[in-house]
Amino acid sequence: MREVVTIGFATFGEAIRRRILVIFLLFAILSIVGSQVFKTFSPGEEDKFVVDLGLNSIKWFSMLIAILLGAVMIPQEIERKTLHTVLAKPVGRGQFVLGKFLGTCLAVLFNAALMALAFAVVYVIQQKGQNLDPALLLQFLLTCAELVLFISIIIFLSTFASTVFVLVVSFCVIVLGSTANFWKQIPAESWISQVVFLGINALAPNFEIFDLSRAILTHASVSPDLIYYPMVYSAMYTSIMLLLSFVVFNEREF
Amino acid sequence: MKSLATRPMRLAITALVILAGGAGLVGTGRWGQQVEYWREEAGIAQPQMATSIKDIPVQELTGIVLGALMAGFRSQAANFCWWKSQQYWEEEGHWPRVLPMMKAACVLDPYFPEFWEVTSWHEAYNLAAEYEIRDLPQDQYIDMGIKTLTTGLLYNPHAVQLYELLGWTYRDKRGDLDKAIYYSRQAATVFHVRAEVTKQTAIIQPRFVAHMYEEAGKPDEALLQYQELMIDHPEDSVGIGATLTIRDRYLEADRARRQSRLVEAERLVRLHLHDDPMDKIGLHMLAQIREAKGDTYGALAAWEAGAMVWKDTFAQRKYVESLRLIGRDQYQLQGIPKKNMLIAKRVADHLLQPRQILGDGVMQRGCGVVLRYIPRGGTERPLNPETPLRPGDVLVAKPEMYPGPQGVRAVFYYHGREIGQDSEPPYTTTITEDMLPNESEVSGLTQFAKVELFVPSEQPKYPARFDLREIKMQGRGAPGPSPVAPPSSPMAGPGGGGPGVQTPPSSPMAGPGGAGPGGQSPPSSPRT
Repeated sequence: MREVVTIGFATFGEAIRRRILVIFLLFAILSIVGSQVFKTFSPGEEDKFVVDLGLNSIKWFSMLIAILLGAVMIPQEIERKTLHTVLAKPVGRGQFVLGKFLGTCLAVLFNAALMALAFAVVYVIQQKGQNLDPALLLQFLLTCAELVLFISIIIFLSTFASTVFVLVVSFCVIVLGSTANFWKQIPAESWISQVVFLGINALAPNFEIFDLSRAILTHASVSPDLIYYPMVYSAMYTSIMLLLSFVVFNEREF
Repeated sequence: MKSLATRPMRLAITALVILAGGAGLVGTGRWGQQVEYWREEAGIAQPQMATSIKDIPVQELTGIVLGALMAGFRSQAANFCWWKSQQYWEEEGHWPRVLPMMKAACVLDPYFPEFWEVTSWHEAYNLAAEYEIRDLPQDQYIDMGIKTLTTGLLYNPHAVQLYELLGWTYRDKRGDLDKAIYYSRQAATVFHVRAEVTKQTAIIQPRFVAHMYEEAGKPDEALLQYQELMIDHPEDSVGIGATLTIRDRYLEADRARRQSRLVEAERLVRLHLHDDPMDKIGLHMLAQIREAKGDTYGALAAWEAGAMVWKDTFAQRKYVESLRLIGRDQYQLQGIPKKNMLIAKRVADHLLQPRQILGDGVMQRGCGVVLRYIPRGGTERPLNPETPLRPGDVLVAKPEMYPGPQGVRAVFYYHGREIGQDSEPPYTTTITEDMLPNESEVSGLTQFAKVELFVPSEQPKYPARFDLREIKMQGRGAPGPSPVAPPSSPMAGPGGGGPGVQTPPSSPMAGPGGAGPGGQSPPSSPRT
């Protein structure tokens, strides 16, 4: 376990030193703070504008950071041959993958937390000093669960594919995950499309279940189950993806 | 040998684990679908994209919108569309894109009730009223507004503001008090509302419902509503005042009506109307009492008087329904060429949906004519339909849609008789003793003053003007002094019917007497 933690912190340290990550973080905070300026574009709907832009900035910039970190973490180690040095020590392949996963999660969630902090300040200003809506905190928790799930997919892909492949497929996963309910509705006209849609429905993650924006904007109460179940979903999906990552990475020859 | 033996074994185990992982993913996917189903049940799920794409106006289905749908940026795209729609609304020449943009915003983020609310408001109010920019009949914009709200309610069944606006639109634009009451009651009782809306709704909606019951001529129901309201808000001054007013003015007449003492009921209502002749609730009750008596034309007169009160769409609707009942509007349209039909439709539109003119907005007649009067020794003021005129009073007709018209003539009527004409603005006539009717002549449709403005038509084949209100009445009382003019004459009298004459119209084209502009399209009318 100590090895995993060590690799995790090393990964985190390496991640936060990347300039690209800082640039994305700045962009995200700029976008969140800018919602105060651009809210005048939606006269009468300023609250909606600030909440939409804030929550989506946190989610999408964090996903972008996750892709850029996750896609390079393992392939770069392989290309630079630094992986051999690590594996020469008493560190199992599974521990290596788990450490990379935890380190990436730590870096991404750290950035997401900074963005959330900026959003909280903007939101309180928008609400003229009123208390923070508890649903926003729940949304942040769900976004974290969503990010963890997404990182596990990227780590799985990076155990056997190149950086470019991981980048491309990650973006596809975002599209599929964001439109999960859409694929359920498409009528399959041939057996090929039937198999494809079935595969997408069965295997692609469903990012829509982590979204509470409608409840936040309409001040609807959210049942605790609907917070708990998506988190369980994320935990199940992440566990399976990590298991597959261990198996694939274990079988890979360098 | 050992490595050869273990390699296939490891591969098999790996394959098994991958298969198990796949199966696990399938199971997890099903779990995710179940969670989504629960979210839909709880009303916090996002809209289904397939439905959304189908509903987005084709011209707004741009790459940005599609990209937003595919990548989950739909709420940002909705905000963008909303912002653009506001921009288009403020810039001249871009109005045709306002509605598609607003509708795109609604569809992209259908669970945000304010989009539906404002879109409907633009349709039923702004676009319906703006003659310069609309390209459909006014009614269709109002229908669009109502449809937008009902669609919005499908997505937001707990959005109290949509119920409120729907109730208001039915009452204000359609004069349909039954539906207005239904939706306003929904707004008052819907349980899941935004806190700040609930605060208002607790008092305002029950008051609104009670007031609509009053307008619908149901004072007993209105009293019940106010009593329910005052159980929770005993200090509500509006409720107290309204209760007293209903008891004082209408309750007795309503009881008489329900006990079939219709003559007594009418006497009581008219007694009240004598003091307050513009009271639309009294006029509605009078019309309903006359309907119960079988006095169709008397009811028609009361509805017309009500329709002249500003924004009394209920009376306007009932008035048109009454006309339809006697087949008058059908007759009016017969033989009119298509172009004139359009004009006729616009006149009818305007009659049904008057705009507020001159601040007080009273006495709008037909195609934008305001009738006012100057009491002897007094100053000009709005004229009540049933205001008793005295010798020395001056009637003033103010056309609000004729910038310097040529050849326009104003014809003044009082109690069904033509009492004067004027062809030079300001159009006035002074009341003299001989213009006042005998008490026996005052009845039915002809019991108030009115003015008609028209331009003499050059087409003798067709009626010179369109008139929804002129009823030819015969066989009741003495015929009025106004002669029946030949149909070709633009000055044809008020249908040949004197005061107190009542039979269904035998010749629909016999008398003009309308408030229309004489078959001429008003200068500011919309494109034909």
